Amino acid sequence: MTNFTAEPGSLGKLSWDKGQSGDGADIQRQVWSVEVKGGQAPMVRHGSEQVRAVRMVQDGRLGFAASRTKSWLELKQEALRSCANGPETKLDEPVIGSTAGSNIKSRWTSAMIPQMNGAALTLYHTLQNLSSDFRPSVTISFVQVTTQLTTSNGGQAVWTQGYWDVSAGGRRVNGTDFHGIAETRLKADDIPDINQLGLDLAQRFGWGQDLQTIDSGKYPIVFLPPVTMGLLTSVLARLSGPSLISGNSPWEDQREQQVLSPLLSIFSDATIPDGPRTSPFDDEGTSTGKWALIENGILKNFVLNRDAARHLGLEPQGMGYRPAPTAMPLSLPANLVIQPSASSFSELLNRFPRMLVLNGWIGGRPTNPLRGDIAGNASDLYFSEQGVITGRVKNAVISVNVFDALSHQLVDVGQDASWVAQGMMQAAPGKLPPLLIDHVDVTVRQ
Amino acid sequence: MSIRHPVDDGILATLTALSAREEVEEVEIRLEFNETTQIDTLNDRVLHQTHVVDVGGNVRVFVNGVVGFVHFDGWNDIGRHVDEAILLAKMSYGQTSPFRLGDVRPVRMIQRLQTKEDPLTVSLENKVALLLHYSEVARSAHPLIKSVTGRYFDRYRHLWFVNSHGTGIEQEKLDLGGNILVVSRDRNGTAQRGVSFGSSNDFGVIRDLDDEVHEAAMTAVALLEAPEIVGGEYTVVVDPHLAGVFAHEAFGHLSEADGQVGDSGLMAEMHIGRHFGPANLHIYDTGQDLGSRGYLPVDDEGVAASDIDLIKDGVLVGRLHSRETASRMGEFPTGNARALHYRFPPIVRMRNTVIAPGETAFEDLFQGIEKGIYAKGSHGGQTNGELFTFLAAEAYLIENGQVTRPLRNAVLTGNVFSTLEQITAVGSDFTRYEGGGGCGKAGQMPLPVSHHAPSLRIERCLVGGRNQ
Repeated sequence: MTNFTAEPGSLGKLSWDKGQSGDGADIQRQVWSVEVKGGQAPMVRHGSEQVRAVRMVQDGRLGFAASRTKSWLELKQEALRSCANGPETKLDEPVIGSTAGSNIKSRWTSAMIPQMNGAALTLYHTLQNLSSDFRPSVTISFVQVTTQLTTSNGGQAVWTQGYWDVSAGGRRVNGTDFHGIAETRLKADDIPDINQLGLDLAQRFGWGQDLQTIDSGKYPIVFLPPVTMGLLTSVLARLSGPSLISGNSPWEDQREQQVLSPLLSIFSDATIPDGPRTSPFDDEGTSTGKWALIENGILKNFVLNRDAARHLGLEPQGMGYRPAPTAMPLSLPANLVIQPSASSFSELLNRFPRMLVLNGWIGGRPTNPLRGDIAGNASDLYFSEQGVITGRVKNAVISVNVFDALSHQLVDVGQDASWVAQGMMQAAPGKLPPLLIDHVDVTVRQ
Repeated sequence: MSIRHPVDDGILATLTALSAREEVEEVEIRLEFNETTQIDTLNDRVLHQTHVVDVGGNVRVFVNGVVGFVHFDGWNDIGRHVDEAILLAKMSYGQTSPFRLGDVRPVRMIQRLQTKEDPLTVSLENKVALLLHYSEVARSAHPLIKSVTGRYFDRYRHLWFVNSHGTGIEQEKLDLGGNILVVSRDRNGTAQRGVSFGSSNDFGVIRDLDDEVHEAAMTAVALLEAPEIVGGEYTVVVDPHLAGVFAHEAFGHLSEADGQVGDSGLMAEMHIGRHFGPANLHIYDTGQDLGSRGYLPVDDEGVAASDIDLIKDGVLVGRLHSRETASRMGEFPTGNARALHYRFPPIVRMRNTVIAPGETAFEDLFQGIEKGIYAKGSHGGQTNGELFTFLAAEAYLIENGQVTRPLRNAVLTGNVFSTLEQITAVGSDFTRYEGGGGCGKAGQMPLPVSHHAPSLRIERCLVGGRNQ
């Protein structure tokens, strides 16, 4: 039988000839998870990935090869061959020393599986108690990635990232009314507080027990973190390498200019505790930090990987991340963070006598990210009167232009930031507070 | 090393021996060899170009009603992965009753790739040249075209699958697709329009797109001047592309049994025999449409594909199943268990979701519409079961039965149950649309799917928009 062997590590076997330019990465990604979902068999999973990736530059062109089984020599040869058809590049190698590294010890032990099972079942039973016909869903995962990087200029770095991810929720269907709730918690050191998560979900479920009807019109709306992340998609599109290099971004010449509300400060933060991308290096080996992208509404820095930064004549700041282990590092932020303010959720709700709270948005993504028009069917929308949430609103479409909303319509930023995981629609994890935005268009089917 | 071509079938025999475990209800082993090429271009140059080979596999076991799932890179020491999957399942407590997947007829088959034009025989240089050619076509169409991005991918998969009940399958698969995205820009802002393509057997779908790319460029320019749509309820005519997305988002996902099983409220609503839509509405899902991206003769649990009617004559007649959901609901597997990659377990997914043609001529769909929207193409859609949203690529105002002027930012949305009731005409202009995107569910994205449909007329469709 054909045998393909995956071997972890052994970066020492990757050598560079004189005059060669490039880097090699050995990425070991491990995921353990427990899933308990109503009506289906519980599942316990373990996945391991061992990817080697090589980038090489020859005659100003970039070549790339990645594999789970090929030798370093084969990968180097393949990367070199692909330079011929590769993109023009200004990629250079970071100076990272010969033994840089941190937190490289694995935190995984087999005792974590029973711990995860116990937590998942506890939360599942808590959710079952919300209603006899509530269908719960709980997933608890631990993700650990160890990256070894070597560069043709002699640099070597090793680092490990690990975090817990708890996603829980469910729904109750009554006739053709689907009442769904979902929350995610991320934490680096231990399983996030299951009891608090259960309470938060119960509160959310309670908010939606009654239905409220409203008229179409313009409303102040508190955008909770999951939908705030949707708004940031357009901001990132204007800030990131591809749109700047192609000349499509209207912000290409706006550094140090006011582009959003003075209330808003957005960071790419690789230093924040519990962040999935918290690490001393990005995926290119560039040293990271906390960089203001927008500070008090003023554009400070772009989101650029090394190649894009050099294309624009700028210094790389550690914003090159792989969307998947076999992918090349793209221009992406570390952890996307909005600076919270002092306003509690309760204070936000008391800013207007009648307002809405939005936590879920079906289709809430822009048709044209650079333009920023977004409209989505509100799947998790609540009505608040005199600071008290009185029920759930249905059949409402929320429409905004992101840049208007975050410039002229932003009223306040909340203090209670929470994590939004990277996902199918989110290019980066984020720790985001609620945003209070006024004069938002709401179209309601009567 | 490449194994694009037939190799010795000792692999199936080895896996079959490894899957024979007495102490568990079910063992499945899958091995894969995946070879993916992806090219991204911007204007007159290559932006990214990657060629990646993935080799690995997974093991799924059912032990005392618990699933153990392990995925791994490389093909070494597969027996150890079987042991680990069993161990993981046994470490889960709180479940003690065995659960047996329903019996299906064991399938023994070897399926070789059959292509019209094989992308693996087309050089990388030629693939790049085609993307750059379309970029030139678009950029020369109008001076307001600011940028053109091209995306192309092809993915060859060679799979081996066995289970402990006698199924053994070796299968080759192909998926290819991409798009040309044209962005126009003036002092008022930007607008975009694209051309998308896809196939499971023919590189030829990327050829001869000059006219479509030119039209996309001119549309992108026209959209620069388009006013934003005014939100409200409209009678909407959707073209076959968007109608297909509607079938996928609005009803296909709701028909996936893993979203229904264990949900007493939803099961009360989704009972077989319930009326759904007009009497001539016929929606089905098929894996047997050779060449479509949803082509799937055998699913990722080794179940042979069957056409499955979901709505026939306006009545709910079926749903999409994996082996587990079929067992739990006392129905039959339908060949809809799919996994994006060996890193994932199979879950219930659509293949090619089809609305059968009706009798209404295209021009008659607009009759009597005083003020409505004609929506064409799609930038995607989303659903949570009850609600759906799709983003039209183009929208035009209908006034007194005539299409008059373009609008921008058309987001069509609604409640699945009520919107199906509001379909008042099914067009006769049935069209096979194959795009380069894909479906996302449970972190598995983009899964190749297709949707073929005619135009539809829908009354009282909720359209989002500012400027009320």
